Formats: sequence, C-alpha cells, structure tokens
Amino acid sequence: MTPQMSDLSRTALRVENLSAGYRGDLVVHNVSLEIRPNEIGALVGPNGCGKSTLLKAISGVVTPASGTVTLGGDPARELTGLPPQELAGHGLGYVPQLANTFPSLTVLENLRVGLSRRAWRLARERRAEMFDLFPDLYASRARLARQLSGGQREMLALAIALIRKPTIILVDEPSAGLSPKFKDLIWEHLLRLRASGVALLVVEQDVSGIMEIADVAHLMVDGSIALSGTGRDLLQDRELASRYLGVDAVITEGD
Amino acid sequence: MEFTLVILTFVGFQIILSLGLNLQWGIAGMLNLAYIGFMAAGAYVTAVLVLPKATLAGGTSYVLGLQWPFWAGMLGGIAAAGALGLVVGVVILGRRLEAEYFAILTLVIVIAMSTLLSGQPNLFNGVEGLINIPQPFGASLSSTSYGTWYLLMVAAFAAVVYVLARRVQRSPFGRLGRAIREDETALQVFGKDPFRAKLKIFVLGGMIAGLAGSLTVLYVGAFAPASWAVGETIFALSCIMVGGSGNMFGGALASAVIVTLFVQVPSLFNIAASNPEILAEVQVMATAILLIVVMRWRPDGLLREPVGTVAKLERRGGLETAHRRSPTRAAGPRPGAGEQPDRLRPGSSPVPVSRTPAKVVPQVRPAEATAALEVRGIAKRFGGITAVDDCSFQLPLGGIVGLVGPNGSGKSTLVETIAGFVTPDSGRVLLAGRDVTRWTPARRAGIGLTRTFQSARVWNKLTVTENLLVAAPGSAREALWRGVFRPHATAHADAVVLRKAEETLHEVGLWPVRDQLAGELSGGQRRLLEFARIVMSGATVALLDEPLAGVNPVMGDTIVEQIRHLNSTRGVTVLLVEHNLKVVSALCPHVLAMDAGKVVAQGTVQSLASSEAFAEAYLGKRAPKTPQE
Amino acid sequence: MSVLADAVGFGIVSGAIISLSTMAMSLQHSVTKHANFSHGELLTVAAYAMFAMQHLTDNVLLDGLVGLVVAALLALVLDEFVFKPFRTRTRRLVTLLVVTAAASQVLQGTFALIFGANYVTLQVPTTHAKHVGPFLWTTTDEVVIGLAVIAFLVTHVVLRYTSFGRSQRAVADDADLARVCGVNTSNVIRWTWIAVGLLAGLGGATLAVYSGTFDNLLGFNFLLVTFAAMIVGGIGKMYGAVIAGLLIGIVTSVAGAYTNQGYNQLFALGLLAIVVLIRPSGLFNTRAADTRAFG
Repeated sequence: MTPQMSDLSRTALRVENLSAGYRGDLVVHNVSLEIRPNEIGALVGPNGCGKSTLLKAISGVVTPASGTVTLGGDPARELTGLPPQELAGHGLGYVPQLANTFPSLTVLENLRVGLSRRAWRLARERRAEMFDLFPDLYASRARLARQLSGGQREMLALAIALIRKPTIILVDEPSAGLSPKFKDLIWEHLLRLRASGVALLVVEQDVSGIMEIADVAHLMVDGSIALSGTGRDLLQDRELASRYLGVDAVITEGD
Repeated sequence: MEFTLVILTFVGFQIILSLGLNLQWGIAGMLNLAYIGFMAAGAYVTAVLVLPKATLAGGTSYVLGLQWPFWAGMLGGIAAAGALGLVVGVVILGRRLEAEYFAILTLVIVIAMSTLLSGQPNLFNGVEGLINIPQPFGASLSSTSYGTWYLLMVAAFAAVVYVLARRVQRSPFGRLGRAIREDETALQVFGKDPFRAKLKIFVLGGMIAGLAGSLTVLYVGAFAPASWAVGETIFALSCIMVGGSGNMFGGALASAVIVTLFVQVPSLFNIAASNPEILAEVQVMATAILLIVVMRWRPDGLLREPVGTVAKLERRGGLETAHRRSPTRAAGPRPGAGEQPDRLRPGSSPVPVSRTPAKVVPQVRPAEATAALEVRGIAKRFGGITAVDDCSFQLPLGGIVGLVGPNGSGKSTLVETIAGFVTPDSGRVLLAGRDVTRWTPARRAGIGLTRTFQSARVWNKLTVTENLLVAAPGSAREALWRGVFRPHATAHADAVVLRKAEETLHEVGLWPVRDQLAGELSGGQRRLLEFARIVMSGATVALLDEPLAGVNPVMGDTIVEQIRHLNSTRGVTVLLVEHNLKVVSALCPHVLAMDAGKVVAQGTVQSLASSEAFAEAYLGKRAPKTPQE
Repeated sequence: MSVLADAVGFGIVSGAIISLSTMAMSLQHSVTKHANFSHGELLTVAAYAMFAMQHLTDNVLLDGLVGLVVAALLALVLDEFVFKPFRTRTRRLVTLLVVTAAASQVLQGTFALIFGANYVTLQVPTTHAKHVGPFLWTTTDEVVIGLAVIAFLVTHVVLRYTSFGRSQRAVADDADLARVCGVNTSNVIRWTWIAVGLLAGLGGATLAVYSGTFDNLLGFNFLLVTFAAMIVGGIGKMYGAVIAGLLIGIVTSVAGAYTNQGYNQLFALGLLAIVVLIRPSGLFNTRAADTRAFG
C-alpha cells in the first residue's frame, strides 16, 4: 500500500509514518501518503477513524507524536509540528470544517485578514483569478460572511486559504451540511482549483462525491489506511463499502 | 483586654458571615454579590424592632420602632433576611441565568438597596442611618463583663452556625448542591430540579447573613449604608476563597486570621491610621490582593473541599467497613429502597431512602407489551434547515436498538427531542404509552428515562462514589432539613444507597477509583461512570449518545460489555446512537438508519448493509453525474 | 415643556458619557469574552489623574489628555498582569469574574489611600448655560458631547477602515482563525486594551468634569449603567451599545426630572434588571438568545 515515493521536488505534500492523538491516546497510527502537484487527494473513512485528526496533525493544530510532514518543491521544507500560522507562509493552506470564516466581516475583509498592505496589493492578480474561480463570491464581496449561505461560506473559506498562494490546501469536509446542489458546486470548484494549479487533500464524509474527482484516494479505518487507489477505482472496489461500514457483508452492487 | 474582646467579637461576626457565603458560593457556586445586603436586612430590621418609636424631635426617622426584646428583634431580623432571600431567589434563580448575568443582577440588587435606603430617609433614616440602638443585656453590667457576655453569645451562635454549615456540607443535600455547581444540566436527567435546592441554599445563606447583621447591630449600636458595601461581600468572598471554597473550617479560619491581622493594618499604613474612613477600604483591598495572589497559584484555596470517601460514608452511616465485595457477588440480590438497614442508632427511626414512586413500567406481557419508547412523526427545523423530518419508530421493552447515520442525519437532534432538551415542531414522544412531548427532562426522568451525553457529563469535583449517590433517587434523603436536624438518620439512609453504589462500582470495574474525583478519570472511565449512574438511578429506558466517542479503543470492549450488561442483566431498554457499526452489530439485533432527518432503513445490521438506502446514506449517491473534466 | 427639553438636554450629555464607557466595555468584551467588574476604575483613574495634573497646569484639556493616557496604561497593565494569566489558566468563568471584582476593590482602595476618602474637586472653568435649539447647554456640555462624537467617529473609522481595525474584528470573531491567518492576536489584544483605556478614560474625564467633585467610587457607580447600555444594546454590537447609552441617558434623565432626581440611577438599574431577566441578549439583538453568557 505504500505509494510511490517520488523525488521531493516533484511532490506537493509527503506524510511519512505520522502518528498523532489526544491526551496520550493515539488516533492516527503510522500513516503515510503523498500528494503530487495538481492532484486531488481524498481521505475518507467512518466517523472516528482519525481522518480529521490526521489533517490537524499535518496542519499543526495537533502536534504529531511521531513521523514527518514535508512540503515538496525546490527546496522542500519539513513542516512537522509547526504551528498553523507559520504554515500559510510556507505554502500549506488549511480549511477547517467549522469556524472557517469571520462572520461579522465582509467577504473582502475576510480575504484580507492578516495580510499586510503590500501583500494585499501583490495579491490583486490572485484575487482576480479567485473571483474567476468563485464568481458567486465576487457578487457578494461586500456582504458579511454570516449573511452568506452555507455553500458560499465554504467557498469563502477556500478562498481565504487560496489567497495566500498555497501549493496545497488541506480541506476538512467541505460538503458537510450542504444540500446536494451545493455539494455538486463544491466538487466543481475543487476541480477548478486543481486546474488553477493547487493540490488538494480533502477529507470527506460524502464518499461517492469526492471519489469521482479524486486522483488518489485513501480509506482510513481505525487510524490507519486500509485501502488506496484512484478515486474511480476505489469507488468500484467491492471492498470499499464493507471496510467502511466495518461489516462482513458485502454490498451487493446495484449498478 | 477589652480590645481583645472587641476583636474576637468582630471575628465572630465575620466567621458567621463567611459560613453563609460559603454555602452559597463554596457549595452551590453562586456568585452572590448582594450577600452583604442580607446582612444589612437583618441589621436594619432588628434595629427598628428593638428601637423605641421614632419621634420627630429625636432627629432620626424610621419605620416600626416596637421596642421588642432583643431576641425577638433578632428573630425578626433573621426572618426579614430570609424573606428577602426568598423573593430575590425566586426572581433570579428561576430563570437559569448564566453566571455573569446572575452576578450582575445581584450587583444591581445590592446597589439598588443602597440607593433606595440612602434616598428614603423615612425607612431607616437614610444616609445617616440608625443610632442609639438599645443593647441586649441592659446597662446593668460593667463594660468588661458586658463585652465578655456578648462575646460568649456570639461564639455560641458561631458554633451553632458552624455545626449547621458542616452538616449541610456533609449531607446528601450538600452533595446535591455541589453537583449543581459542577453541572446543572446533567442533574436534570436524574429527575432532580436544581432550582429548589439553589433557592434553599440562597435563603439559608441569606438568613445566616441576617443573623450576623443582627448581632453586629446590637453590638455596635449604630448602622448606616456606609457600614455595608459591595466591598464587604468581596472581603467575605476573599476570606473563604483563600481558606478554601467549600471548606467551612478553612473559610472560618481564614476569616478569623484575616480579621485579626487587619486590626494591625493601621500601624502599617499611617494614612489609614489617621483616617478611619478608608480603613475598611484598605482592609478590603489587602484581602482582595491576597485573593488574587492565592488564586493564581492555588485556585481552590488553601484547604481542599471535603469529599465523601467511601470509608467516611460507611463510618457515618454506621456500617462496617468490611463491605469489600468481590465482583462475583454482583450476581446476588440487589439492595433497594426499603431494605432494612443493618444497624441503626437506638431511638431513631429510619429515613426512607427514596420517596419517589415506583417507576411507571408496564408489566412485561409479551402479547400486549407497550413499547417502552415511541416516537411519532417528530419534526424539527432550525432556521432554514430541517434537522428531523417526520421520524417515527418504536423501542420495544427490554430491547436494545441502534440508531446510526452519518453526520447531519439528524440523530443528535432526535436524541435531544426524546430526552426533552429540545421541543419538536411537530410529532409526539411517548414513554410507556404516556405523551411526554412537552415534559421537561427531569420529569421524564421521573418515569424512568435517562441519557448520556456525547462528551460525558460527570460531576468533576465529586468523587466517583458521590457521583453515584447523587444519581440515585432520594428526595427524602436529600432534604435539607433532614440533613441538618437528623444527620445520623440521613447518613444511614445514605449508607443504604452506598451499598448499591459499591456493588455497581464493582460491576463496572470502577471500584479501584471509587474515591477519586470524577474529573481525574480517563474518557473511558467517565463513560463507565455514566453507566453506573444509570444503574443507580433505576432508569428503565436509556438513550446512549455515542458512548464510544473519545474512548480509547482498548476500553471499547469494556464499554460494549457494560452496555450489554445494562440491558440483559439490569433490564434497561437501550437506544444506542453510534457511528461504530461493528459495535452496533455486536450489540443491537435491530438498527435504525437515519439520513437527512428521516429513518431510511431498519433491520439487522446485516440486512442494512445490503440495503441501497443505507449505503447511500453513508457513501453518497451511487451514481453521481460525471462532472466535465 | 421646557422641563422635558431640559431633561432631554441633560440626558444627551449624560448619554454621551455613558456611550463612551459602553464603547470601551464593548471593545473589551469583544476580546476577553467575559465581563470586567473593574471597568469603572478605568474611568476613576482618569479622573484622579486629571485631578493630580491640576497641580501642574490649569489647562483642563491637557489634564484630560493625561487622564486618558493613564487610563490606557492601567488597562494594559491590568490585562497583561492580572487578567491574562487567569484567562489562560482557568476554564471557570466565575473565577475570572471574581478576579475582576477583586481588582476593582484593590484599585478603589489604592485611590482612597493616595487621594483620601473625601470628595475631591476638579477646577472646571465655569460656563453659562445657553439655549442650543430646545436644549439648555453650557460650553462644557457641548465639549463633552463633541468629544464623545469625535471618539465615536474615530473608533468607527479605525475599526472599519484600518488594517488594525480589521484584525481586531477578526480576533473578536474568532481568535484562533485569526491566528492561523497570520494575525498577531496577542498584540491586537494589547492594543485593544489600550483603546479601551483611552475610551473609558475619556468617559471618566468627562464624567469628572461634568460632576465637578468625585470620590473613589466615581467609576464604580457608573458600572451598572454601563452594563445596562451594553446589554440593552446587544452584546458584541458596539453601535447598538452607543445608541442604548444615549437612550438610557435621556430616559433616566427625563424620568428623574418628573419624579425624584435622586432616582435616576434606579431607573437604569430597573431597566437593566428587566432586560437581563427577560432578554439577556439585548433588545436590538435580532438573533436568537445566546446560550453562552455574554455572547
């Protein structure tokens, strides 16, 4: 199950033997994975399997117990255990599931938080690109974040990460709580993000949705990676459902 | 000599004050900034009861002036303080306000009192206050012997109040108060209403403050708004927090030491010495500094709050300590309410352990068994989002049913609705056939429903055993007056429940940590404690909300075992909400699957696993439209 | 009718002062998320600093400026050395409340030690009252109102249009997310406290000038009316708080004019009690009542 470990300059993110947990209890056991530039990586699994914790360990919200996190490129940079505020500077974006926007700030202000005047000016081109990617956001740019719909808020959260020119963005359950229509919109936008040159590692509950667009996908069960492959392959894999649900019966294929 | 008498007398006043506040704050966690107002109420009313009628010529004007004997005046003062406490308590405690709002309201009250009384010269002579208040023992005694007699009287009262406070602290009522301080919400699922207990403590504390006020005003002979200010409450609060919140001895000791010490303060600050008006302020200031410093390094104060260890409880209840049961004895007959106690102090009659009526549990008649729990057409919307949409199902008596579904499927909202913490927009919840849709959680607990929470809500500063004792029904055992006036009988009733608690502890495997504070347990142990509390409460229907969340996988098997035991041996009907399908399939012969607010599939886990709807719920639609590349 | 107009006129002035105090408290609460029972002492310290400065110079405005600076310093020191250590260590809200209440007493005692227990008098230039529209105002009154308006405008501009203001609002919304976005949250909090001190100090200075004489309880007596304005206006809504402050000033003044002047404060207290009991999230707050204390 070990992915091909390519040369660091050609990878976006490499995680090696990462273990992490809370209060001494390990929730993530020895996970290794790799995301290449312009790739969408999917991480799925039942509740409590550790996928959110894995993202938090990579992004520094939780300090890993062991293992390494390396941001690829030339030169590559080791990020293990760095606090979240430093990662943005190195090129790693993180969009948490909840509390990912500033409710009482406008869309534009949300994007601008933490950026110096110079950085904001320099990001003008970036902003234009972003508004191309998220035209909905452009239309609401003067509205307060709390006035946006759930789907729009999610896009704003992605945009906040995007404006800092990341190499890769970690996204925690972007489609959670969204209606099917908005879910489709999210998948569409993730594809556009990939097309614009950003790699993504997406944790998702909606398995089918993310698998359709994922270049590489991993199923996590009980803190370890149980299955890997391309999204399409995994979706067709009969073992996926039974491993996910943790039952012996295999789902009879209707399609 | 006379000076020492004076100091000791004031020490006595402060000790009494501290005991009352320690009940309100130390035990029940109420930040009552108006505390000194109750002392003032006691002082003022006592004064106008013992004073002769006010004359216009005299220059002071006040109400009443009945010239009663001092002891009647004292009774009146205490009663007035109690009445004030009752009125204020009913108004502000009933609303379940957050701590900040409660504190602000009490501040409003004390400042309003002060403003009113200062502004209304006809009540208690306004700003100038009352003077020439007659002394209790008359002018016949010499000054020194008068001082001695008064000190003895104050000391006697202080001793009585001390004993009273200690008894409250040790009693099941006091334990209930501490549980209220730790987590009021969790208390509701055991059928106990925090409001009445808080009100009683509030009034009792107020009356004790009134007593202190009475004694002070009769000693000093004068009383004015300047004698009492918010600072005095902070002073008392500082004393008990430094001494140890919830520790009556610590609070009293700290008060005594601090008051004695601060008599020396004038010699330290020349300005204060020459200016008696700011003396009180400086004393409060010094104590406040001490408070901040002590809190920084020892947040609970110098002395710990006494807890009821098993050994202590057994001893007080008059039981042998040799009740070390081994786990194998757990299969034996369960002690319950009404069982005759082993030994009883001669001359006293037993206290009923619980006066709650037997739970309404229908007899198990297989043919016509009513469902233990039924949900009919429950719907709930939050803003624009439909959380639960026309949900219906039944929970058979004695059954153990699983409820599964991905995040956002409405499971949590449904559980909150069944438990009574959320009112549904439509639909009904029936418990053993009774419509409980509009009932409070406490009332539902009264007929046998209980629940656990996603993150275990245990009472952190109570020991494991104390947690169990609070969970057990006990309206008679936990009565305040019984705890105060019949401590031995109460302790004995406690001990009866203790036996069941000990057995339960062995069953769930928590016996080794029986005397540990619940806040120090691991996640898995806290879950087990929740289960033990369910057993103690005698509940017949339990909603278990993700009991494996936050539990070390190693503990997982134990938890599963305990749930099985709860259901098969203790006969508790269980609705198990869980994500972990392995666990659900191990425990539940029948499972409900929810998605988007509805029950989309039911059956055994095996049959569900082959159901399209179920797979879709978790994995998403199987045939999504292919997005353009 | 002129009784009413006069009362409203007084009310606008006192309302302006209340607004200053409430703006400060609103800012403070936005970053600490807990009530500060020593808020009043920030006003008092400015008043005493002014009094002390009067030995050096007669210029009231200069004295006031020193008062503001002293208040800002006190606010900063209080948070840095007293409140912050507790905020990072304890989870119990009541502990923080007790600490702020204790700090209040410490400060009151300090003022009494330094300046004595008696009322002190501020040398304020005497001015004549004249009619400004329907209202009867002295020049001092007009200055107070003017300063409050300026303070409000400056605060508004800083919060809305500067990068610090944006960072401050971000930290108030979600300190963790702000940190992730690269905001130095500790610095933002420090500067917020300085602003709190400046605004509260201005409130204290104007209050002292308006009252003429004061003692160490000046700010403390103002505490509850500040809470009232903040709760009526809605926790976390500074503009609501400012409006509420004005309203409370006017309403209490009018009510006091028709009943008993000494009961002004009681009306404010009564209003506060009612709002807390019935709708703690504020009258202007259209969202559902918060389940957590103070937002």
